[in-house]
Amino acid sequence: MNEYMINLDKVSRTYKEKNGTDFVALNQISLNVKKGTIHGLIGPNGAGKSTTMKILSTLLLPSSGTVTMKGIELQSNLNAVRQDINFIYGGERDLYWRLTARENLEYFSALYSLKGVEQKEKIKELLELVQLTDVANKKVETYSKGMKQRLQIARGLLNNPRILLLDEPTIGLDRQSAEEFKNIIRHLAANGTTILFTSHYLEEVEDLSDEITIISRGEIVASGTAQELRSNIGKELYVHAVVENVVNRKQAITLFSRYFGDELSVEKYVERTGNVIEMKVSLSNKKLDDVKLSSFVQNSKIREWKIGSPSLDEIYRYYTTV
Amino acid sequence: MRVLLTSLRLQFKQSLSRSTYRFVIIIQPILNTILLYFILSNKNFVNVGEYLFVNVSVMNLWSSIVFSSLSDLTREKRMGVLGSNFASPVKFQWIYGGKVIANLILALWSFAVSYLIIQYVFDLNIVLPNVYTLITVYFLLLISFTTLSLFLSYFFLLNRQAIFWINVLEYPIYLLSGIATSIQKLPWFLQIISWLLPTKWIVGLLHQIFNAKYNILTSANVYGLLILTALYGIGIIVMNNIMERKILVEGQLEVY
Ligand SMILES: Nc1ncnc2c1ncn2[C@@H]1O[C@H](COP(=O)(O)OP(=O)(O)O)[C@@H](O)[C@H]1O
Ligand SMILES: [Mg+2]
Repeated sequence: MNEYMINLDKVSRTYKEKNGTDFVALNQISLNVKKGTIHGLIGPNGAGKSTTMKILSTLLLPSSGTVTMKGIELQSNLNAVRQDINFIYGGERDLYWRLTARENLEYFSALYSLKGVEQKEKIKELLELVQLTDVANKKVETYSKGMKQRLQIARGLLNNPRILLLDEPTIGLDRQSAEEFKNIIRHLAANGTTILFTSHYLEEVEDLSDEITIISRGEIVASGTAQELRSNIGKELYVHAVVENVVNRKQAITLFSRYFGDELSVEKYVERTGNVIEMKVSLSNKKLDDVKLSSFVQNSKIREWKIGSPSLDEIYRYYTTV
Repeated sequence: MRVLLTSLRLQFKQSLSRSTYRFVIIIQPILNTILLYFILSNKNFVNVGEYLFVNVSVMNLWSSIVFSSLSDLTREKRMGVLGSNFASPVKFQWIYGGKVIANLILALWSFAVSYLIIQYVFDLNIVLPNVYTLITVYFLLLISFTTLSLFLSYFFLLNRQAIFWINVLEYPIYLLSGIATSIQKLPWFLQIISWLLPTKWIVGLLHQIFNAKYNILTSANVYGLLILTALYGIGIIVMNNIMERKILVEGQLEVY
């Protein structure tokens, strides 16, 4: 058997736009997720994360390429995988607002052939897990955003999915609920569930993921463990500086190279906001000593700076800034 | 099958808690009855009460398919629950079929509303056929309307404008079914189109059974209805895989 539970091979997806032209939302994506691991998918808005998730959830077919789930080719065997997968999407969806939480779970569990005692037990267990037992008989429309999201989480777990797809699942959750959710996810993965998830919160991704894939404009720009992503950029070669005045790209590069000459050359300039500069540099003199650095800081209009290992935040911006 | 019943129950609970549904189930039949009363009032019939009741009931049924069942698909899409139904291991037809049947059962209410208005407001007598005939015909009607609705649901899932068209076509369809006027007065090509509508056969059949002592086994309308239903049924089976793929290719399960 394939050790990968999810496998995308050169998957593309095109959408027809309103004006009739084709828009390529995913361009030859290849991605593997091992059994029982948590894989984080990050990328800016419109990168194609949700499109990827919808394809894996069997809500959308790819335009080309091959998707394999639990070793089964997905496109011609949709029903063979549906019993074993489920998804939790962010936003107030996938619930009937006019029904109570319990009625929702009863309905959706019936779609996965749960019945009788087994069904009752499962619903009870999940209501407790997401802490909605007390309000289980209230209509969903009376719930807060966070409560609806928690109910969605329960819905997504009804069939004990072997593959769980999460698209921004913590949206609308307060810190504590998000923390609890992460624990649930870790617990599931430890018990063999394979999890692919997207998130806007980078610390959450770093915190949870065994592997991370960065996607931008429909293409995968980097993939691997957080450690691997770091070393791909180059350890100790990422500059983060706060300057006194707002500078543009050219000024920033001039500022740095004026002082360091050819000891430091800018490989990629990643601007952040206002007076914060980020760039990937390469150093010919690997030992830039502290004295030299601090004198540079004093002489220039730079308030603080740091050269070192990039954070996930910085890795992310490095890959997604064009 | 169990899913069909689960879905039926869900539809009951949902519909009854929706205020616009009260429009469909009470106000709509009242309006339909009054409208038809005035259209038909200058004509001379022997059984005008029955005539009115039959025609209004079919109008109400059609409304229940159109306004409830099919627009439910659009509503569920907007609510974001269509996807989680479609992506479940159950064939979508069972889920949707449950909704349609629930709506057709709820439509019994609208029959009662129309009946009361005709009988007591317009003071026209309605003689009901015997119960067994009524139940048999209602059952036939349930099957044929469900099949039609399942057949139409593909187009609703594929076409954003479907709701618009079905609204535009509502009254023409009544005409084609012989509700406001006799089909024989229509041009031949429209008559042929009317054969494709179960409502045409149902209107005919209901008129026959309300004319008392009619043995439905000898009614061409019954056979017309059964053949048409079988055709739609075969259509569903043949198209199912193609349509499901098309829906997933076009990504029509969600509002974008
Ligand atoms: N149904 C659709 N029709 C047309 N364009 C779409 C559709 N769904 C998504 N897109 C476009 O595809 C791109 C990727 O969208 P999506 O996968 O939702 O991105 P993400 O989840 O990463 O923000 C976006 O530019 C979006 O505008
Ligand atoms: Mg998204």
